[in-house]
Amino acid sequence: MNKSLLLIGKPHASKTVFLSQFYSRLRKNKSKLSLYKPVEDLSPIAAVRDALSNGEQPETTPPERNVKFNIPIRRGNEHIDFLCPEYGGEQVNQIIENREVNAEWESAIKNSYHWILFIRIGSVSKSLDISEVTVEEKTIAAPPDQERPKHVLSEQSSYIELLQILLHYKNHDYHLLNRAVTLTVALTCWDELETKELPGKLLQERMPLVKSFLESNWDKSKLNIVGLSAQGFSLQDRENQEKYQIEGPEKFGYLIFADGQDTDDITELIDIALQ
Amino acid sequence: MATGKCSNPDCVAPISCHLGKDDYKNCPSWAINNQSKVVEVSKKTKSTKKNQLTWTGKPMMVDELPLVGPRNMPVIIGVIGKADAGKTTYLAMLFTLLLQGKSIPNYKFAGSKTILGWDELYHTLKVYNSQVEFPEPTPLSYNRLHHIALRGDKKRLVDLFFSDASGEVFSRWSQNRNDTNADNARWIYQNSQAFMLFVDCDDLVKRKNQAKTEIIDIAEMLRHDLRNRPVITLWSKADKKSDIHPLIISSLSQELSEMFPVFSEIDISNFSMDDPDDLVHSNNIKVVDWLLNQIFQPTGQILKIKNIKNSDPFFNYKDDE
Repeated sequence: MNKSLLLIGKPHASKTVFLSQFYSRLRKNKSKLSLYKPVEDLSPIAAVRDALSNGEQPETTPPERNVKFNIPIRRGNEHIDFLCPEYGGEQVNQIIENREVNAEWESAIKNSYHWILFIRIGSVSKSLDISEVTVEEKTIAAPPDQERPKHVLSEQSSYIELLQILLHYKNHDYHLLNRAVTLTVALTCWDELETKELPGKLLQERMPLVKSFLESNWDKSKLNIVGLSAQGFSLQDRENQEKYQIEGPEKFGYLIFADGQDTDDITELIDIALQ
Repeated sequence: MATGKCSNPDCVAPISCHLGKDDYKNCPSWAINNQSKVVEVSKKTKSTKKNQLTWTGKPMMVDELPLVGPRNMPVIIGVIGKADAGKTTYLAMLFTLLLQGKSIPNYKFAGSKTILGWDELYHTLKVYNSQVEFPEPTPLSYNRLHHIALRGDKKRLVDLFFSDASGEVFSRWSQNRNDTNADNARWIYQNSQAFMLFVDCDDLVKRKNQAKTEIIDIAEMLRHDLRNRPVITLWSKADKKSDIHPLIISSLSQELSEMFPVFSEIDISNFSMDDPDDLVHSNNIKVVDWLLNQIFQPTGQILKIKNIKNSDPFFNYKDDE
């Protein structure tokens, strides 16, 4: 039976590092997943693989790089096509901005019942607003003396609209909780957060409206919120670089499950997403 | 049916589209009056046409309501009050608080068809260089709806709309119910299931009884044929309420409470003196809580039918939520 998994993430969400690390693990047969046929084109992850095996911090994929990457996974008797229609992430921004999806995305959305959403929650920015400051009216309500930044859609609104657009193409009926699509939200670059929080709790703290949107539209059993560090730690210092050079990049990286348990096998993300 | 004209009388299409569409023919409001022309367009751009989203993310025109209508009976909250009473700012604050993680008791946020519009309102409350912009005065001809979908305790979906119209139209309506420029006020009055009536504390401090009379005039118009629709009075800018003469507060409060059969009042503000500040962080949310409680009054005994076996599967259906 063929299933397809769709990976969705904005630029710099650590998709390429994950794909590279994931692919290396599959090749080493270190997990219960394997490849059912060779990957046709490895060039999209080549630069990152090189960098990681040298213990170097990979450069982020230029967002304008419009490259797709598909991994044919075998899990027991199942064949799973892991689709990443464009891993630079710029197309995800364009979906939100232009309010339309191209034919490839449309077919990926329609054919996949297992979505993985990458959110690099450590770099989600938020402006200060009036509800967060205690202040006298006269000090704050003066006419602005300099030009204010133009409106840019806030991160929370942008993720909510993205999900609403994806659900639209899935003909989702909002009266019912979504049981058709399993959604796995992976909070990426977990190591840079230096937190002991549960992933769901962290999403609640940093993006409460997104969390509420997810919980009120997905059946509990079809929604997972996990933490993912595909790289394990920063490769800025010498000691960490050597670990990568000697032991190999695929040794590193970890996943934090919804209940706080962790595993070194990042391919388990796929297991969760296929539930 | 008239063709060659947008269904929104204020829209100047084909010169430009009121929803900002590059091609005005792609606008749902245009489509209402120009069905045959849209079919032609869709033939030409078949692949992109069928992909189109049914909502724009911007505040809705009233004729776009059917876009959400099919999924639920929309619940419209009429936001009523004079110009500069803080109506649009209230909406901005409501969404800001939701973004901050505040929630309406017994409901969870389940989405919005107008999230770009909400987000623009939120933007006006951001602090830059210790200053806040606040929403611009709402233009006279503007009549839009902000949408929020909420999921209730029993997983029931509620589509809530907040009206956003200029305060000037309510002042005109309060003087003459048939004022030709008060269409928006009449639409809101006729179509809303419940109302927020804004009382501007700052105006009561400065203009005293004159300001009070204007509020009473609007309230009188609202009372006519109200049919038990709930009304909550929002004492906005309530951080200044202590500067209003106590006699004005007590008489206005009493008069309003006697006018409306289903009534409540609450003090709200945008300026926190404490953290948290009830006027800001709690009361702005309580307004919606109260209105929802009034609109969805429990209907008494819930009839439970269990284990009735019938040969027709339709009769055996039960919601497992």
